[in-house]
Amino acid sequence: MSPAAIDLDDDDPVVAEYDVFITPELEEKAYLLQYLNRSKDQPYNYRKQMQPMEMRIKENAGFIEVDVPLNVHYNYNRVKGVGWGEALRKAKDDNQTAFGVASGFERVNVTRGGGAAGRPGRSPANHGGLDMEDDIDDYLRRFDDANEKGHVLNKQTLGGQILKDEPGMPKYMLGTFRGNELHLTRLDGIVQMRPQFHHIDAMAQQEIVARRRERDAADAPKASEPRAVQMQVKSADGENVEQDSTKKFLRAAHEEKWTKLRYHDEDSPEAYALYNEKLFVEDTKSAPKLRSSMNNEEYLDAISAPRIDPSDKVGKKRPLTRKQMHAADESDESDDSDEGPLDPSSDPHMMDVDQDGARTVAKGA
Amino acid sequence: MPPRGRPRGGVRGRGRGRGASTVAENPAQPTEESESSALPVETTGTASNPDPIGHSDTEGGIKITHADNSMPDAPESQPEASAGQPTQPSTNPAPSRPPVQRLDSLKNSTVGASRSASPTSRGTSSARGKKPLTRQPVFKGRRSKEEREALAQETLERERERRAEREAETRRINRGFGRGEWRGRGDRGRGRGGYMRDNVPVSGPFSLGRSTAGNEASRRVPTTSTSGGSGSRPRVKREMHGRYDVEEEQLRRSLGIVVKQEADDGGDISSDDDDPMLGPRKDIDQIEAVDNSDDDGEEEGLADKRKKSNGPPLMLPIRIPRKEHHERVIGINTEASSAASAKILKQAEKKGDSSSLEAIESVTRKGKAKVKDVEITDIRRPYKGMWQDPDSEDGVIRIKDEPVSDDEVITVPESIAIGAGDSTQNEALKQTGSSPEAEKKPHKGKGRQGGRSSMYDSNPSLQTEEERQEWSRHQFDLSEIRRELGQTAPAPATAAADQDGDTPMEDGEMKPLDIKADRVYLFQFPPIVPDLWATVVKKEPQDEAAPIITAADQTPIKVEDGESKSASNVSQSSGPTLASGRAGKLRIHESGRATLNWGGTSLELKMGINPHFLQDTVVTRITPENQRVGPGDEGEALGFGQVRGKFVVTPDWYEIVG
Repeated sequence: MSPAAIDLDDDDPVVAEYDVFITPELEEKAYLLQYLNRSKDQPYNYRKQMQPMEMRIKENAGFIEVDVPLNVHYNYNRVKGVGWGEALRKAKDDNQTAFGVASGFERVNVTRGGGAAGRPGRSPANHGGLDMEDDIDDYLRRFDDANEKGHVLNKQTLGGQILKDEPGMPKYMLGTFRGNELHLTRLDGIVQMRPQFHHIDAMAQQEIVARRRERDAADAPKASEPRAVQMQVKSADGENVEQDSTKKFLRAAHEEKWTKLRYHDEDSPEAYALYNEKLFVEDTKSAPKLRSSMNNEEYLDAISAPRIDPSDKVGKKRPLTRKQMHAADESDESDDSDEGPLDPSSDPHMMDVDQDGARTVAKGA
Repeated sequence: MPPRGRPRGGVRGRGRGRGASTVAENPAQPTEESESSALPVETTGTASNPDPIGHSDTEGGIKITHADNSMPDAPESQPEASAGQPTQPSTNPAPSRPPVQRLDSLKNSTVGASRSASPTSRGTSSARGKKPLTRQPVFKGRRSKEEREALAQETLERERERRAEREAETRRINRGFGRGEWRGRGDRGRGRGGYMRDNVPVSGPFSLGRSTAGNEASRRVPTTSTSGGSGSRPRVKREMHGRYDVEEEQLRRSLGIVVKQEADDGGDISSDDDDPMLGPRKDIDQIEAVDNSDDDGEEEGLADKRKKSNGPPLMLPIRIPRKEHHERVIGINTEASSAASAKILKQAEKKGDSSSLEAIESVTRKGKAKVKDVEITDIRRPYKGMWQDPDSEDGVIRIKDEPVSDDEVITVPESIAIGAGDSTQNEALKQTGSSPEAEKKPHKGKGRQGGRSSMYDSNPSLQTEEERQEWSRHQFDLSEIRRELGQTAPAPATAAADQDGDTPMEDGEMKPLDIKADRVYLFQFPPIVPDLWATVVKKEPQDEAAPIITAADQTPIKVEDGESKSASNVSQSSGPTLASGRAGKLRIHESGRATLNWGGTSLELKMGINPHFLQDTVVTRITPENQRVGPGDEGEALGFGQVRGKFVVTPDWYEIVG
């Protein structure tokens, strides 16, 4: 057959065919991280020298954070960088490891009074703004050294909440190809990774801490515990369910500790090994054949809005089969069969099946 | 001080020259040269003046000298590279030139040195008003020969180190096989080391690579060498500096031309309005607000920045490109519209690698800074070629090959069913040998497939520009699918594929290089997806794409009981119950239409949106609490790379409804 003839006659031949496999459920979780502020030309990977330094996850609360390196020698404000770096470092010393919503917006109650004693090494630096500024000046002078020692904000934190499958929302799967096989793996969540400004939170917190220390130094600590108790009482009274659930959620977020994950770059052998192991059906030969729970008719019905036909006495939601629709269409053009052109070539077998299917649908529904 | 007055004149001339250079580089020259010839004599004296003030003039003279000398060479050079390159070859003749000419060049600093001249002129201009004071603190007189040599040596060393580093980097990178990039953009060859290494060995002053290498080196200078003695290094200067390749540097030194280089530095020094803190000057179009991304230094940043021409730089305001307004055209002529849409389609396809187009454009427009884009496309093209580059054939064929008049077809499917009947039968005949489902096709094929093909492939009558654009987008998506997934058929086998629809599938497995391998794709399924259950019955003969008729014969009962379970499941559970196993077949058609047999339900695959932000996939494995060894053993996260593409799975309406 000449190509020209094919052009004319061929009814869209199949040029490639893949066997589609569904992989078994992973014990691992697969997430899609969307770095909304990052161009895809600049992936965070080893090749680009931008391999994430650390990944943290709060699996139950549903948060993920990634630290990516920051070039402190280019377009970098050292003064700010040192300031924030120091604030973060101190906050960490105060056991505040998470900020923002991922920590339920809660601050670690910095030990007051005794706090300085508890960390004698740091106490002078915390006392006055003057000392701190001196420190910063010092760090600025020996910037590289300070950077190595962790006084400089040399990473950017990106984070977000894990969005899981929801009814009524699209489902996502990861597809991987191997030869002429396509393997689909359930995606456990999508995370929109946005910049997190923990360093600023940390700065604010440091200010608060400093202020409180000053106050503490001035007069005896006036505890705010009673107030906290009052709060609890209120929430116990809590009539507002929504508020309650939010509170619960935030508390859960606060209470769950970050799980630190060692990050393997996409080009690392570990990643390849897991990729090949987990995203493919191991034994494709003996993989059981899957059958859809619905045929096309039923599927159409499942995705359609419930059809209510007042004239139908038998069952309210009983769908019209193709043949019925056809018949209806012929008898009455104004029928609600808006499904498009009808196929006149249905055979009797089909009719039976469709009715069976329809009946079961009606039963189920 | 007499010299002071003179430079003023020189400055003015230079300024003019610069202005001219930006507009019309070479042409501007001859006129100015003649005009400026009056001045030289006076300035000659200045040139020899060793004192700091005069010195800057000297430098200006010298520097521009080579700019000027380069003129003979410059015209051949690419216009876009005007800024620095031509200066190089000129260096040798420079000393032999009479001073007068140097001064000429002062005025005409234009061509090659359009920018390199600027610092000097600025320096002098400041001299005019404020006197040398501004300059003095920075400049400490001529460097001794040893100093110069040491400097040169240092640069050389650094260059060597850097190169070694770079090579090591490249090697490492090349070892790791990148998965990640989105098609079209596929930058496997574009990895950081890729072009950078390429550039180094390229020799010849006009090679594009050189200029990029020059950029690299030059940009790196400020961080690495503060010892250079010149705090402020306007970009041009550095370009010239950086352009020196190692060998060339050696050559220069052997020829005693280092002086020249030093003169460059001197020129740098004299530019007092460049605060060292400000860093290199940049083309305003290329300035990134804050690009924190680079870990490795400016080179990375540069590379990334350059790449940004592909898409909008993120976190920055986006300038909406200006488009000429076209009147809304309403036409009924399908012939014309098809031609137009073909054109649009092609444009759309091009858009996939629009960066190449843009790059070329911008290169001509913006000059050197964009030169790298050319590099990139050079690399990318062959890469795309590897997957059989359907650009050319796809668009054309698709639109050409539908002789059927579309309007009628849609309304009267029967008519085409007759017409298409033999075609489907032909296909059926072809397929009988290999696939069992082929036998079934003709059953229901006529009406439906005829109708579908008309809906899909024929060129609809497009009335408005918008429709045409939509159509072209649709076609582009199809071609993307075809290009991405249709390539189980290896490039050489396409001919065979045309004759026999089955061959490509067999060949596919043997294909040595699969772009899809090791990548991850994202599949979006509709909110309601049929559950998949493992069937116990072994003897299912086929995965039938259209199960309604055929499957009905064999598995009515099975469908039922699966269904009864699902009826409740689907509506309530958050996700479908998907057992593991063989779900069915994904078939890519010639047109780019892709059908997915989902265990008997007909679904269809379409291209998803292609966002410009980064999407990574990651798999986390958390070590159970009781198995943790230490604090570092809480778990692992394994990157699987960027999502290469997104597909949207929808119900196959042509099967389900049609």
